[in-house]
Amino acid sequence: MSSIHADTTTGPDNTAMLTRAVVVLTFFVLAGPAAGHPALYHYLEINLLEPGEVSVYVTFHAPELSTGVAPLEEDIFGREWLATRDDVSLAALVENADRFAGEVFSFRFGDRNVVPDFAFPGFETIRRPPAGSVVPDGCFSGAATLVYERAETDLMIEFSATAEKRLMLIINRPAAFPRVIDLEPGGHFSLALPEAPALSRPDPDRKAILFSGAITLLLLLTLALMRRRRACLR
Amino acid sequence: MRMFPAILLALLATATTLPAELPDGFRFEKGALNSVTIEGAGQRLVVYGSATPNADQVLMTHMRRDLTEFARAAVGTGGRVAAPRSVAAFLGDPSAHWTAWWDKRNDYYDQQVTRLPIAPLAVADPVGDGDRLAGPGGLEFRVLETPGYTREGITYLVEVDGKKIGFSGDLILAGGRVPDLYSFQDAIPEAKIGGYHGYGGRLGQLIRSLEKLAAEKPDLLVPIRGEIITDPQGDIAELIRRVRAIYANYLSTNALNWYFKEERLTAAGRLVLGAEAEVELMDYSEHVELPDWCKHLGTTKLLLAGDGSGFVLDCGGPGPLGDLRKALADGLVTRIEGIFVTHTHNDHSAAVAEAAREFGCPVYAVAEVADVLENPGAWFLPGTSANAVDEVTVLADGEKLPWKNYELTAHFFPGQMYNHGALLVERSDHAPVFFIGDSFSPSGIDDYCLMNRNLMRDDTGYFLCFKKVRALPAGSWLVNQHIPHLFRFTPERLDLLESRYRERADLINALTPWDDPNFAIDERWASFYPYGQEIEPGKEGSLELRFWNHSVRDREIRVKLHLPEGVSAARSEVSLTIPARREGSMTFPLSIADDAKPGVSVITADIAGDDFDLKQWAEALVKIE
Repeated sequence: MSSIHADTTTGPDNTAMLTRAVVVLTFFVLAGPAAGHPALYHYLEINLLEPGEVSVYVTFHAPELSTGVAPLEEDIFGREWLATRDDVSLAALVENADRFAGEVFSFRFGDRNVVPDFAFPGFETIRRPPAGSVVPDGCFSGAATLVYERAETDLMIEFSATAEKRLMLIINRPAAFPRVIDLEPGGHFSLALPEAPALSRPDPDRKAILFSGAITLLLLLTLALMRRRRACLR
Repeated sequence: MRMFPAILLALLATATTLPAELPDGFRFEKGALNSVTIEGAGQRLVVYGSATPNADQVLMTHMRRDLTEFARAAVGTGGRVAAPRSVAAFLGDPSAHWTAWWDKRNDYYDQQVTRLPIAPLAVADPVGDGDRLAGPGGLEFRVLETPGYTREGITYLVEVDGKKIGFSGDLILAGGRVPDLYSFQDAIPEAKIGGYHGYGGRLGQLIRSLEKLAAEKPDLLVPIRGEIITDPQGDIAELIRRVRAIYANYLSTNALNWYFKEERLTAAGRLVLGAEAEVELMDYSEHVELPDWCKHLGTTKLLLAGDGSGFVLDCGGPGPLGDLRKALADGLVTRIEGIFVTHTHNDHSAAVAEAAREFGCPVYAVAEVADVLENPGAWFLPGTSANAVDEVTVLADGEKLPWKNYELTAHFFPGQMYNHGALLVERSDHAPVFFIGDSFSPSGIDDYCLMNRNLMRDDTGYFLCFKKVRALPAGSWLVNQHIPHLFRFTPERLDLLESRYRERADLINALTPWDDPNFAIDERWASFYPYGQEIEPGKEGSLELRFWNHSVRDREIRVKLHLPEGVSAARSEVSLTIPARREGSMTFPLSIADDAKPGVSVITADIAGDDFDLKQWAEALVKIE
């Protein structure tokens, strides 16, 4: 797996987040959105496979993320266009994708707005998805995990009226066919969530803090034991 | 006084019948491609090309291979070729393109005309907007970039004896026409529309180029084919009017309004119709949720029987295939018992072969789809997947396929593309559902890609589709593979769609010199089969040239092959008479020399009739290895 933008996210300990991003992106690349012709719809896939967590995947048709009007070069909206972008262009596309996702989609657990922190594949993976990738030609995807509490029973997804294309919203639950909702710009959809576990799983930041705290405590205990031992030896 | 009106009328009549007068020293020869020779001070300059070699200068306006060969014949040795700067490198070495084209033709969605040069032609004078070229006798040619019919098109302007003359290539033909409509297919970046969905994508550029040329106030325009244009302002205005009418009509019935919505289609429309134009789009027909027995998986639809088995329509890639695997693993479906393929675009067909092998199920399609699935390399069509299906069971038009509690009826349904089928699905507990592939959406017709061959004939194409939809049982629904809804048109809506489509056929008929609009929209009316084949040195093969006579009269077609080195044919010039509205073909046995160089070679054909003479028109690829 190539380098991932999630590497640079903030947090006292990136290990847990990096691990999650790798898992999420591996899952995505190998078994992610079953998009149709990438130019026709926006695609948003929601996986409700683990109670307490919502996995979100957004598929972007990359040429449409360009901010300028591109000239009529060869295969401007096809597979080759994305494969031939340099790092600077891809960085801009990823930044645009992140901004676009924030502008076009909003997520709410009850009254609580949540802003997904999308992770994107590395540049080489965007240029040349691995064999068997389900990402359509000319596209790349962002993945994020949203965590919800036991008291939160619904996720509201709102799709901006400025989106310019329809949205194919795909909801995956265990042992069920995908549920497909075709939304117009300005539409919204509320989906019922599986009940989160009784003790809500700490969010990744809290896990990192707890992990750091545990290490610190262990070190202090070790230090304390060593001093006591020296004192005994004297 | 009574004689005055008569004299005036006589003068007017005389004025309109005077021949176009090119200046002294300009010699115009009308032919398959026009030629203008200008001599002075011992120098000879040719515009477009000539059968007479050794011109000192040859001016090319664009890069199509008929012009390239015409220019080559004129330049001989030592002459200088001027051509658009943007294509000079390609002209200098087209071989890399054709080698790569062997694979690039698969999954192809750029939708550009493939009549590109095959042999190199060195460009000594690559030119762009505003450049000036010295000509014989002190003439100065000024270059105007005038893309539209081609991406790279330019016009050469020259002033002589107080007259301004433009050599405009294929930009405009006399009477406000163009050679065809499919050449304008292209992406519309301003509207974020790709080439595949870009019907008339370069019409906006055409209009801007025409307006730019009109602002120069030329006295005469000399196109590369047909008559000299003696009323440039009038013909330019007429051409702009015609393309605007066609594009407005196209947008008013277009399926893309379902997907792309008003912003993008209005942006596309205003590039052609004018910055403040109101763009008419069709509102949505009645649409409802899919029934429980029909699952939407990407561009796959899965029909479920009472016993848990499934029947699939289309399988376009790893995504839908993965969904089917997961459904089997989860026990949501017990087995897949068949796959019907609606059409050959890769987002519907790319995983069919793998799915059929994995699930051990038959693949069904109508004949027009089946051969493309089994022999994709023999075809050049938009978005064809190279993943050949081992075996396709051909269902005749109207053939029934009973399956579990369903009655399935196959249909030839040449809507979104000519190679397209549909499946009528009937069960006792639901209104009939007609799975029409990609041919209609709740907002209209999926005819955005002319390379798909959306024919405008009463006996086929969308007119046949309208007939079939009208003939469905009352209360029937339609389903598009991309759309997770049932939808249907009211009779009034069908009438509107059909009448608008018929209007557009008439508008296109007036736009081009052809006697039937289908020649203007069907690039493949004369095409080789197989489009690509591999033959070893010392071996033989065969090539068929297939024709669609879209005319309402019989046509005699004369063909001359151009064969690359190492390839020979038992006969290379053949004639054939094809009845009106019928198809015909001629076969050419091929032999590959023992010492033929390995690589991709291109065979082309000149095609002539009583009112056309098309050089280097059709092409086929032969990979020698």
